[in-house]
Formats: sequence, structure tokens, C-alpha cells
Amino acid sequence: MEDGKLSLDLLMGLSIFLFTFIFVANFLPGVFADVRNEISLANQAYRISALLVEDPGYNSTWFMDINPDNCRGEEYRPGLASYVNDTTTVFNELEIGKIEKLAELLSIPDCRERVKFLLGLNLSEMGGQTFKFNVSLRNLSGELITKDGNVLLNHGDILPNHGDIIYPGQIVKFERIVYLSQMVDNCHIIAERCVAKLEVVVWI
Amino acid sequence: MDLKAQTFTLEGVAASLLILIATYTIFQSTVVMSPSWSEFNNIQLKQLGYDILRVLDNPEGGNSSLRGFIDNLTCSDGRYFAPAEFSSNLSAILDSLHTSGRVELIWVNESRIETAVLSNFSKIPTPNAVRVSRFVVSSNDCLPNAMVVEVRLTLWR
Repeated sequence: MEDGKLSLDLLMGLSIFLFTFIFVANFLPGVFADVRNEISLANQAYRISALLVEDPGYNSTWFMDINPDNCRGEEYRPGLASYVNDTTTVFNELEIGKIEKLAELLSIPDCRERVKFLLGLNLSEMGGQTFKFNVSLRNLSGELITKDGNVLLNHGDILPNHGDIIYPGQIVKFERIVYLSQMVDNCHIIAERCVAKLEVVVWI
Repeated sequence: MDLKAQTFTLEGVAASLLILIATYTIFQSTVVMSPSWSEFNNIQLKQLGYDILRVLDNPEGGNSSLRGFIDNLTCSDGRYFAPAEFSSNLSAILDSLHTSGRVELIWVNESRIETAVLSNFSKIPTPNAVRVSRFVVSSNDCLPNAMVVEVRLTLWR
């Protein structure tokens, strides 16, 4: 009579091990589910800052054509870079008119949501993630840039860490050094340019 | 007929199957560990460097501009000094960004590549420093035979 080649102990041990291993391997991605969306925060912050600082927007007269009445219906894309002679984008030179228009649109909830959609921060219609963002212009000392006594740009969604509220998730900030097309109240004049810092903050 | 060795063969088969399943499971999993997450600081610093050089490159910028400071560069005993205006403005920008910087000028002198380090920005960078450059058409007696000068800014935190 021949004995069995595989013992029952071996088979049971192997089965339990394989079952546990496959269980863990399949549910491991779920461990990172909470942070997976936050991994792309840095990319979003960089992308928004590049769009604002290095693109004049679409079309080049968007800041004259768009207003709170048509901000939801028109196709446009905000961009703050100066566009000279209808041919040349001046990187890092931000047009005051465009900044003021962006601030106006971001201060109205409906227009703000539309701007976020046009900047690619609201991908819910395509099954993606929605991000919140805030954009501000500060001088080299950290103070908000003002023009004629009014803050030029500190708009978007309300920053999550304010007062006693502690936001538990990731917040990413991306900074750019820029200069403005006109002199304002409190920028630093460097190389005959009104230098400021654009800060883009993105979170979920 | 000796049948004792078959258990080892079966165990070998089981072990290889186990390794195969483990390897397949690992590689087909959808865990996303973005490598760019740790490089974000470098990206931020490098972008700031490009922005600084771009902002300073103003043809009408006087002594604070890239061209202006090269035109008015002074030198003695192998040390190079930028105009005070340029030094103070660049220091103000770097301080506001909590960053340290080193400025080098590179140009071609006949068949050699020469390098000059600005005295006020001559610290040794850390290993994680980033480097950005911008080319400026300018000349100065301190930079013999220079026609196009590379202004190289090294930044670190």
C-alpha cells in the first residue's frame, strides 16, 4: 500500500497562508485610499500656478468679456500673464486688470465654481476629484498686496486652517515670484519692477 | 521503485507557485506611491529660481537687473562684487523665501570656460541644492572676452 504524498498539515497550512496573503494583497490599496487623492495636490498647485503666471488666458480679452452675469455660460480660461501686441506672452508679468477680474469672479460663489471647473479643479463630472483652492498676492514681506487701499488678490475657497479650526488633511502651497504690470501700494521695487509673490494653495 | 523523493518535487512546485502568485499580486496591485512627492521641494525651489532670474532680467532695470549688475561688476584680488543695489535686492528676495543662494558667472574666454563667484553670494550649497541659469548678453573688464554670460543661481533650504 502506498502512503499519500502530501500531508494534510501541509495542505491546510498552505491554504491558510495563501488565503491570508491574497486577502492582504487585495486590500492593501485600500490602506492608501485616504491619501491617494492627496498625492496629486502638489501637481494641482503647480499646474494652477503655471496657468496663472505663464498663460494670458483664453481668449486674450477674457478679463474684458467676462463678468458675473455671463461667467457661467461663456467658455474661457483665466490667466494672468500679460499679452503684448496680440502676439507675445510675457511670463511672470501679471496684468492688473486680469488680477482684478479674477478676484471679482472668485468672490461670487457661482463664478468661483465655474472658474474652478475651467481650471480643471472640478473633475466630478468625469468621475474624478474636486479640489479647493485659494490664490493670493503678497509682497516679499508676506503682506497682502493692496491697490488704492484694497486687497488685490486673496480669493478663492476659505483656507481651512483659520481661527480654532485645525484641518486634518494635506494642504499644499506653491509660490511664484512675479511682477505686476502697474505699480501698487506695497510691492517691492526690484530692477524697476513691482515684484510680488503669488501663492496658490490647494487642498481637498 | 523508490517514491520518497516525490514529496520534495511537490514542495518545489508549491514553492514556485507561491512565488509566482506573490509576484503577480504585487505587480498587479494598484497602490500608487508617487515618486514626485519627495521631489516637490526641488520643483518649488527650481521654479522660484527661474522666476527670480526672469524677474531680474529687465533691460531697463538699472543696477538691479542681470545685465546692469554685470555691466557694473567690480573685481579685485580674484573677488567679484555686484552693485550694492543688486546684492540687497537679491538678498531681500532670498530672505523672503527662506532660501540661501550662490551666484556664479560663467563665460568663454578664448578657449577656456571661466567661472566667477559673487562675493556676497558665495556660500557652499548643500547636497540638495537646485541650480538654474539664464544667459545675458553683457560684458565687463572683470570678465575678459565675455560676450554672453551665464548667470547661474544655486538655491537651497
